[in-house]
Amino acid sequence: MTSRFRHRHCLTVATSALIAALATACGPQADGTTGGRELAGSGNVGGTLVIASPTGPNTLMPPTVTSIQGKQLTDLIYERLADVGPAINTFGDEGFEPRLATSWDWSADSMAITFHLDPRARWHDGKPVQAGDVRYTFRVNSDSAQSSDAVYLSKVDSVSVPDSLTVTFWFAARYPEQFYDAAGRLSILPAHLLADVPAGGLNRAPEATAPVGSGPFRFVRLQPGALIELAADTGYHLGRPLLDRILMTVAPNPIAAATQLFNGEADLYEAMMPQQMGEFATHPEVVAHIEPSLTYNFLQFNLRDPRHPDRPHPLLSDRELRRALSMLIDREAIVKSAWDSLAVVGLGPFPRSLPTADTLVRQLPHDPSRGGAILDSLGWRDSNGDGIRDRDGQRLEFAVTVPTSSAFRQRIAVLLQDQFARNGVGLTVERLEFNTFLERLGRRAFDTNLGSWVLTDGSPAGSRATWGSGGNQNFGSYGNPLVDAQLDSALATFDAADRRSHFSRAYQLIVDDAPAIWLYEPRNVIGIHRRFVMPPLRTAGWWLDLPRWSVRTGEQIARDRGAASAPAAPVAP
Amino acid sequence: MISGLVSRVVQAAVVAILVAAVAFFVLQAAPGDPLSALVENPSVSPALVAAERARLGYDRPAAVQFLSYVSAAAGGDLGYSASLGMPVSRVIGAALPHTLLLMGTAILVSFAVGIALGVAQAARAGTVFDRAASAVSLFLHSLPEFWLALVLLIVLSGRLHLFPGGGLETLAVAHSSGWHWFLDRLHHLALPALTLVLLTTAGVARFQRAALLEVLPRDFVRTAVAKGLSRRRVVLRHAWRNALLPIVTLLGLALPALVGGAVFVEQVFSWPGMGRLVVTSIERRDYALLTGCLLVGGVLVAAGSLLADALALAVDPRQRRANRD
Repeated sequence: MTSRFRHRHCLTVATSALIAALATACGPQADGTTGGRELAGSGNVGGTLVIASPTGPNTLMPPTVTSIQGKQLTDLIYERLADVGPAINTFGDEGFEPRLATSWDWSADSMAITFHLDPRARWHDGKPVQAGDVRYTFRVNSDSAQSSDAVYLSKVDSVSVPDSLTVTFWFAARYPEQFYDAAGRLSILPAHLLADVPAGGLNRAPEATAPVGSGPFRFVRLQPGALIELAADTGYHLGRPLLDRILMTVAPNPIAAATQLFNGEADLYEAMMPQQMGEFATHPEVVAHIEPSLTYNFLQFNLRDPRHPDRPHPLLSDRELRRALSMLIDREAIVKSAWDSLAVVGLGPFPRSLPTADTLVRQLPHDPSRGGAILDSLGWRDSNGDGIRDRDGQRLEFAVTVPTSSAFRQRIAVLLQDQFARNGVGLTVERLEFNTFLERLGRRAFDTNLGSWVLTDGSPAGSRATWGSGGNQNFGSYGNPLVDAQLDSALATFDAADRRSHFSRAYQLIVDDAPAIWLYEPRNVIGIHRRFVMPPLRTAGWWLDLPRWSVRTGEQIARDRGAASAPAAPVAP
Repeated sequence: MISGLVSRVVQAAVVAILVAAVAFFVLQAAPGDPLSALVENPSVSPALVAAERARLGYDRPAAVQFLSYVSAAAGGDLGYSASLGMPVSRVIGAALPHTLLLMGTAILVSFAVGIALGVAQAARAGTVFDRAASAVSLFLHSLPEFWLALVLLIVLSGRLHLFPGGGLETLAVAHSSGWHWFLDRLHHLALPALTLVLLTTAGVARFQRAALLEVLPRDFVRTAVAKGLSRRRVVLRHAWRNALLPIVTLLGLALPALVGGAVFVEQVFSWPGMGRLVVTSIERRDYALLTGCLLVGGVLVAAGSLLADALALAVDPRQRRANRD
């Protein structure tokens, strides 16, 4: 809900995964040298991309970035040691692409990974990127008061710097996401600029609003709440990005943003609504890229009493009742009505694009008569003829909380209300201002909520926090020790087949327990001007290959020609 | 006179602080704080949220937060915007000129057009022109701001491509001259300003018409007519000056908008002004930003109010005499 990410087609994911598997065909112990391939592709140099965005970033300091816009920009300004490749595999080092590190070696016992930094890498102020920067970044991110990644880095024992271009991560334990934690999570920060900033002060450092990174694009200017401009770093160590400039302009109203896109004032808008799809037919210069997402939406049941959290919910703690309620809902009809073809029915606590997804998970069927029969057998019958089932004087009625910020969730709440009502179940729609909605989730003060999870980095590690017993983001307080065991095993095993099998069993157990009704996975509709040439959009974010985007020959417009290349980083003395 | 001025300034400062205090505490009473959106973000740890909350002082009682804010503000520090990640003074400094440009233009044009229309209507009271102008202005006056802005955006920008779809200027284009830059700015300003002008002109015209119709039957006007002066001279030289006072009062009432901005119009046309800032600060529970906006707004509104008083003195000899006495 708070952030959205874009994906390429599953076919591409599968193909890339296959290629990656064939190319590396080795476990974590293998030499990770993959060669320093150039990031920028071939194409015309020059061009400007104007992105219309609903909001601006909250900060440009990577450890504390929480908005999608902040992530998009910092992913272009800063760099990691290696990037999760198109297959978004976070286990082992398969598919990872070199960035600041040209190669890496695993120790014989897999308790240490040594990264060799690219000697050509420079900060945008001209200073060389050094191993000390990596150590500083680790120190900042392993402080839970400064970074959310601290919880993942707790298994990293220390970071040592044998020389200025070599850095070694020492681990306290061997686990499958070791490489990802060291190389894929951390955007490397400039120690020479930030080392003197007191702990907790990073967000107020000048670099939080005027960042100095080592990535393909350098920061140019920021107009608060209005505009951010980046320029190509012509001296980027993996090759100059093809585009000259990227401008992110804030257009809070979706109609205005789409108007800017179709008028040619903006080149990209990623929050297109289904009702705006018709515009593409009359504007052939803009292409709709419809991509699967890493988002899944659901009606979550609260298993605890919202008024007395130490007690079970008087209705929804009953597993059989929840299963029956699930059977009453025609999810396909809801998705079709609200989204048409721009969403697919959810399958469980995962989006289909996730590498660990299991599309064969057995679903609870849409079978109102069977659901009704289960309710009858549980004693829920309409004894007074008011249309709502009841038992011992208690009506089968509960509320769903929805944020007013989402028109779609409000519409879906009404569709759910209608389907439940037809089967004798009362559903009250409680529309709440967004902050109030979040506050209620945090306090677990709801019967049901229309929730959404976005797996921002493609790592399934967060599933323990969202659906595991006692997970801090398990707002419905669902718990099943068997699920916990399967998730723990899945996250601990080094065997890919074993991992999939554990995840599949966990997903099946969760679907069978029905802590939620899995409603839909929205597809992302990104409108992009036709003059741009680009590789297939990446699953983990459409912006990740921006250095390879270019403008088609002969199709440059005034802003493509007018942009002057940003100078290369000055060479440090 | 000077003591009166000082008294007005003090009153204005007290009002500004009171408004900021009410807004601050009402916002504090609402659920959530600037960090509550992180609750739903699975990649943000509760420890980070707690540390950030302590760092920004949101774990302290509301009264303590407000007092420390006001004492810092007295020293010129308007605090730090948690939602935009920078000092509030910098955020307001960037937004205020945009709002002054938009609202200044809208107020100037709507008062000029509204006064002219009101005078023309009063001079031809009861004619078809008067009735038609009244009907149209009443229709425009009753339109919801958000709706009108969207309709103008969709029709004039989206369909007819006469105006840009929003923003301050054409992005990433090097302007060949200052004149070209000025025209580009004007082009972007046109649609949001037109929306505001359409909405507010009607009110000004109706005020002006009513005021002039009250003055026209008076003796001094009849005398002027009896002296053989032209109708135009009678209306503009003699009657209109006497019918200007309600418009000056109306202008004084419109001045707060000059600083506060037009929330909906700024939102629809992606105009990065004060109105949008206030909405953002409320949506994101950014206490420092909201309080800063209201404090700055309050001070500038007070200044505007003083200016309106000065204008009233300039156009009304009775007030000047009363002040002298």
